[in-house]
Amino acid sequence: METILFKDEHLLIGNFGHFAVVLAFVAALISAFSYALSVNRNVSSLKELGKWMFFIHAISVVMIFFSLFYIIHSHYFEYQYAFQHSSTELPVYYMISCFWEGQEGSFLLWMFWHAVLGVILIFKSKSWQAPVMTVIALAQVILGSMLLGFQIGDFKIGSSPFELMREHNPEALLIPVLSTIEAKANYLQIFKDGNGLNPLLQNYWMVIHPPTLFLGFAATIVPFAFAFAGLWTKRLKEWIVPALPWALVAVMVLGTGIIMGGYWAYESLNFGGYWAWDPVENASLMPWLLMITATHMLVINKSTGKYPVLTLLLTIFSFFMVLYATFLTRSGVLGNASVHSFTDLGLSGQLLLLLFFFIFLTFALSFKSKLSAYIYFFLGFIPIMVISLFKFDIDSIAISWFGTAIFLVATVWFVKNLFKLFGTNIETDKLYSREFWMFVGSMVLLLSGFQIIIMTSIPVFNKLFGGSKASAGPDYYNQIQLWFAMVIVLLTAIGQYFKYKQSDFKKVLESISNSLLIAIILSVGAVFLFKIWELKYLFFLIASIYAVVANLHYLITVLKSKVKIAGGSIAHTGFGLMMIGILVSSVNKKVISVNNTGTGYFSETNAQGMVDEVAKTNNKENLLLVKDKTVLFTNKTLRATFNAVTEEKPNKYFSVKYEVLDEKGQVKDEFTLKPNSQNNPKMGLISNPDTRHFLTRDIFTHITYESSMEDKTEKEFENFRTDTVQIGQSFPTGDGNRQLTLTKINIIEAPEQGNRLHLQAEVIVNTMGDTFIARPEFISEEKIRFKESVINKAGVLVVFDRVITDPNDPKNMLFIITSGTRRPILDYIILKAIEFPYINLLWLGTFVLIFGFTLSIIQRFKEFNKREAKNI
Amino acid sequence: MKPVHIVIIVFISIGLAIGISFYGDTSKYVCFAEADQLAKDKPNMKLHVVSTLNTNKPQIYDPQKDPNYFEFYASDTTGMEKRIIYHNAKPTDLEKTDKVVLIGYSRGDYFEAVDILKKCPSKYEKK
Repeated sequence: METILFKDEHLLIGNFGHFAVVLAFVAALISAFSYALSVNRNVSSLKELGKWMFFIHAISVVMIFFSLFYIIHSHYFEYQYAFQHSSTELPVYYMISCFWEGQEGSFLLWMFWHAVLGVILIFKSKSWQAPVMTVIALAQVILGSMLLGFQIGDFKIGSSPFELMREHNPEALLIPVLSTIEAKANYLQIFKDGNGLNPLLQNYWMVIHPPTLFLGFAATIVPFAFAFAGLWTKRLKEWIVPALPWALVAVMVLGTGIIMGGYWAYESLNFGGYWAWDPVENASLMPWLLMITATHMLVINKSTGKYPVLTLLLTIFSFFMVLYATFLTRSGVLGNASVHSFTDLGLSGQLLLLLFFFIFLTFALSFKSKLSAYIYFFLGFIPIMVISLFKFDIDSIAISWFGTAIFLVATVWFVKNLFKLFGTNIETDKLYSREFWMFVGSMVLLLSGFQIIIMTSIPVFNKLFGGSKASAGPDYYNQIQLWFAMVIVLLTAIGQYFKYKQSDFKKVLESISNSLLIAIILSVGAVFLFKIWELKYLFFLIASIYAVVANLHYLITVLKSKVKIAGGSIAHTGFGLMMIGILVSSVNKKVISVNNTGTGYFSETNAQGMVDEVAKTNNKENLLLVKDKTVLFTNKTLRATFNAVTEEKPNKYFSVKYEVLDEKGQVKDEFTLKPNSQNNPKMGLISNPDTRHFLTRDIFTHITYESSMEDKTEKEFENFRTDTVQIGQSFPTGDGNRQLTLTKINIIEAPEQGNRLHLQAEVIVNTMGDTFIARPEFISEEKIRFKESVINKAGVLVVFDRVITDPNDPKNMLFIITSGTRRPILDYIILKAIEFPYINLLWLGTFVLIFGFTLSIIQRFKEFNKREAKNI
Repeated sequence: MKPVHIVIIVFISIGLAIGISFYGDTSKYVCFAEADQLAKDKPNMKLHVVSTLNTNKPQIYDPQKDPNYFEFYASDTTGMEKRIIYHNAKPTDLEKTDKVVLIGYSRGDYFEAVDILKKCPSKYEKK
């Protein structure tokens, strides 16, 4: 084969980027080894080497980032990543979003945050630096390997973001236009623009939500690293103090990222809500729930020294859950279960490596003897990796069981070791102690997480053990999680009144009942305000209000309004507010665009006049709005008019004027919403909602269909009618708006001159004073043919069907004429509108929660710094 | 028995209950024939059918008549074809989709979809 000298390629920047990938990988590897060797040996030169190597690593990661950004920004479409995820039209501020559309970019983002956290830890982790940094550097080695893109035989290690399009997809150059060598060399003349970024990602929230979420994911490695370091250096009690503030950071950032995602979904997706229990959403909630449980256990352990094994387990499993969640969303295993589709880029093997490597490494640390630790590690890790990387065809369920059994035995052994290590002696718990109730609360959080993990993992179980179970729908989650949430809010209210170790039950009871009394009085008002009547929701409402009241009460009476130390109470207040917001906005969420017009294929009464029970329950949530026709909603307090369409490429905006009516039907307020849609060549019609925010409710509107999408060719004419007339007779069209008169029949060919009869009718069309002449033709040969006549200006179709003899007068001829009228081109939209009452409480609660977390983080970092200062 | 033990026992049993309930309550992936069979015993069980749209068969959506009625044909993985009725607006990105997961109930001569999960092939698409 001849070598082709490709023209106009910019290879330098790609080579530079690839060099940075390799450098980042090698530097992380050296850093991890140097740090690891310096642990338990106290060789400061090794520690220094590890530190500098990590700096080099961090700089390389930044270089990878800039190289890729430069490629996207300069529109170098010879690079696969830029070709696939960007286009020349893309505004600069969305170019950053290209990083999270592709997998390589997301791993890069994850690595970037690890690098940032690593650099902070080098300066801030003091006596913990070496073991903690070993963990971070090791994670970077594995993540870095995912960007390598080396091909060894059949195995591909990682997927490089700097791969050229022609390398990634050599068939692209085989298209007919590029048949000559010269054309091939100039292939960039053809590939002038990229595929573009998914329009759903071209949104303000999509610029900030993914990096926040990834920072949250990345931050879970820090508490894990401290737990790991504690186990490794046998500082079994001390690791709690530095791990706690970092656990809070992870929980806060991850939580903020999740809520941002919910807000994005609410503002720009059209499923009408902020949470749908989709596996991808659950994948972010699972580690969060474990991490928040771990955080509470860390607090208990720090104050009382109790439950050390459980605290350690939860902290490390929060990190494992992040790895597992990444595997779920990136390996394609979710397949049919999620609306988000993620295909396997061949990285799932490395993801499993990351997961199991850390699991078995941590588990092995629980052995006292080094030899048993090594044996345990290799006996566990190697078979699991062999099983998960090579897909055996024979009897794979047995192999799945074998792998699961290895994993379970290894875990039980690890837990057993931990109990030995920490000593099983647990002093008796006092029922009236804070740690006991916090422990109960943590267990409820854990159960809540357990339920979500089990349900979301169904596709994994299907894959492992065979089966065809489907994931559950949102109602299933809501009905179970409601009870967990109810217990949790109650415990956040009661728990704090107890003191650690032992409290005076009478005093506790007094405080509890005082705040409960206030809460119940407030609840009476709230029930009428929020209109919550169903018993279980009523209990949940009272419990949430109680949580808000009790936490505020505690803040004022016990903490004497000292905000600095009140992080917990403030966060719990915020959580209570969020729960009220979620409850009210979802229980009383109302689709207000109920359609009661139109004839329908399935009317509620069937042909026999009986009420059809199935049809009665049919969904009627989409409403037809014909342009400039005002429609009153069934709730009688709102009416809507679709009054204009404006185009701002690529979006089409539909103005819908809403008028709010009072009891007498008078307009008391009006506003206009502009939901939009864009016809994307790749994804079809994408519609974005528009929402009007009021203090006490939101009105959400989106377009589900619009007239220009209709297939008009089939339905061009309607109101067909057939008349039998004689010459000179007039008859109306089907809609009654036009008058037709048959004036004359022209004989173009008569049967005597051959076998052919060819007739033409002259029909005068009279519409609103204008007259036109239609000339439909009837041709009889071997077959009968018609030449229809369409009068566009009158919107009429005339067909000359047949000639018959008058049955009453055989000498007379009659003519059969079919006419139709053009279906008027109606501008209309199909709209769905939802009212969300009091959703602002959810957002308010979120801010309060984040504020509370921030206070706790500051307080806990101060405690760690004090502790370290004492050590020196 | 210490309170902690009681708590642990209670929680493990709730955990087991969740684990067991997930085997009973949740829906299944089936083909149309199985769906018809299952519907005889449990007409209210929501089922998932992985299917492909039949684009050569007519689709009915006439929003001026009823904006909440969409009818089309789809084939399951065994190739069996069924009429599908979806009481909602016609999903706008359906033409760009090859595979859909229909969630709903078998109603004899047709399948009533309450939800249509679309696989959007464009994301992470390999060209």
